[in-house]
Amino acid sequence: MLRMDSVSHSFITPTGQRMEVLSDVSISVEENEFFTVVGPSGCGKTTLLNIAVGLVEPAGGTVRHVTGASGGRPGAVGYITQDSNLLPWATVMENVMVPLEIRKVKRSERREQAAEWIRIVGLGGFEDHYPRQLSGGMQKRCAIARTMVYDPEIVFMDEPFGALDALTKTTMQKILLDLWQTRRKTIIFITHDLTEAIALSDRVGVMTGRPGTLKAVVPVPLGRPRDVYRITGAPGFESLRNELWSLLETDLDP
Amino acid sequence: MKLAGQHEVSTAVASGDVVPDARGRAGAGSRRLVVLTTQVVAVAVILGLWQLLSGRVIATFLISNPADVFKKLADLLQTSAMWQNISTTVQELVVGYALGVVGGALVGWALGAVRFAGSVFEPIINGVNGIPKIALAPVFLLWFGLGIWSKVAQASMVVFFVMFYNVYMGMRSVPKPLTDVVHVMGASRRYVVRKVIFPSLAVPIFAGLKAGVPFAMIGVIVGEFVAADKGVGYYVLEATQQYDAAGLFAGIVIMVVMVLIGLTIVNAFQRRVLRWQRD
Ligand SMILES: Nc1ncnc2c1ncn2[C@@H]1O[C@H](COP(=O)(O)OP(=O)(O)O)[C@@H](O)[C@H]1O
Ligand SMILES: [Mg+2]
Repeated sequence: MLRMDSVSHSFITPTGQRMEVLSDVSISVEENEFFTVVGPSGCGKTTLLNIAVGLVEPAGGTVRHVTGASGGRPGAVGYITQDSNLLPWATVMENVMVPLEIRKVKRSERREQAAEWIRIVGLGGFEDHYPRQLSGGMQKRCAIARTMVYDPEIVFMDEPFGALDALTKTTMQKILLDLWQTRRKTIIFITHDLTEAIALSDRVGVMTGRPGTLKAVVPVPLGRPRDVYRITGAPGFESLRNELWSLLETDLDP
Repeated sequence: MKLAGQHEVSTAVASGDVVPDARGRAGAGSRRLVVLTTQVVAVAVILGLWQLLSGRVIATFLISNPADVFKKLADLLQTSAMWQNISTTVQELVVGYALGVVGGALVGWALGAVRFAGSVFEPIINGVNGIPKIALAPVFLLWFGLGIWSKVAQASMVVFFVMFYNVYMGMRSVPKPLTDVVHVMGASRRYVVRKVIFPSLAVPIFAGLKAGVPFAMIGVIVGEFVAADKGVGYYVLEATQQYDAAGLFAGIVIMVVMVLIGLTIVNAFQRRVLRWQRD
């Protein structure tokens, strides 16, 4: 479970001014929940995740991970960033083995577990490819395998499928939902795609423009399992999309 | 870790999800042959022109000619005196290069790793680098004497700066998102250094290693020109003073070959280490 209380943050701009990026954001995500955050570009979503995973110390507020309640390894945190951030000098296999190396898993088991996850995300046969030899979608698959292989109980994902074409994106959404459904993890997911938000989440948090605050949290009443390929035809989809859109649009520039 | 029964997810690679074009390999071999042939022709034309102009347009004692240079080279390589010169220059090169490379890399690493040290010392190093290094040759002669060490000092001084700037800038441009993402996985500082920072320095380090080879040669030859009783640079100076243009050019050919051998070694090493970058 993740609890963020009154988190705020600011940056110093190149011209030396203080720019408020996040203001009084409180989010509470339950164990095994799929929680999505949508918000206008530049409103501080990435900063929020960087704070949540501990890369950035917030100027104000607190972040608590209550571990041990979700599926997955207590305390382990996964972070799938906007760019895949694979190590360019390491093959798919070596990249996926990184977290296992860090955890000092035995050499033979490392290879076995990594190979298993490479297969699950559909990269079988590409073990010895370097990241630059993979398409964007395949790099994403590799990043997902690299995160899932160490079984974190909470996974943060920052617009992971934003750069993919529509078809690849939907396929990746299906892979992710299948994984989440069988593995029971807590997922905090960021997107600017409302269809994606509805297709995946239990609840959607809507942020305002900078300084970002959490404006509303909207539950997604669609049943599970969901068919991501036909989600736009699901009953209730349109009205929910309209509701989210009207929450967002008041904050977009005219 | 639950590994059993992980077949619930579709494993097909979606159709939009293809590998970027693997460029056709078939043309690569013949293209390389064309490049090589053109290079041979270009060098032949230059040598031909040199041979033609010599004695007709420009006096032979000024520029010699390829045939004479080649003959002189063959003769020189029969003499043990020349091999002594070569051996001396090689020693100065190798030791000077090694000291410069290691010193530059270590200082670059340290100043790149410790931000405070970097902001204090970088301007100072820039200042020292502003000294025309040739002006230091007499100083090194005074400090290290007539033997190889004044040349070693000269060469390592030049190589040091080349390596320093490459590694220092490399440290500054280690991609932070990569170190961040590995850090979130729970990596220790040591792991990050070994698996992210080191590999990302490989490119600038090789840039420094390559640029350093000809610079080391410049340093050594400058040192030998100032004062020496052995070495290829010393030989070239002697030949010049005796108006032996063929000997002068033969010496230069030897220097070029030394530099090329050095670069070949570095390149071979680079091909092994930077496998991930190759096409
Ligand atoms: N390290 C930083 N230094 C200064 N400004 C930053 C830094 N990181 C982000 N910002 C600024 O903070 C704002 C929010 O950034 P970000 O969290 O990336 O937004 P989002 O992910 O919602 O698009 C942006 O205006 C961005 O320019
Ligand atoms: Mg962002």
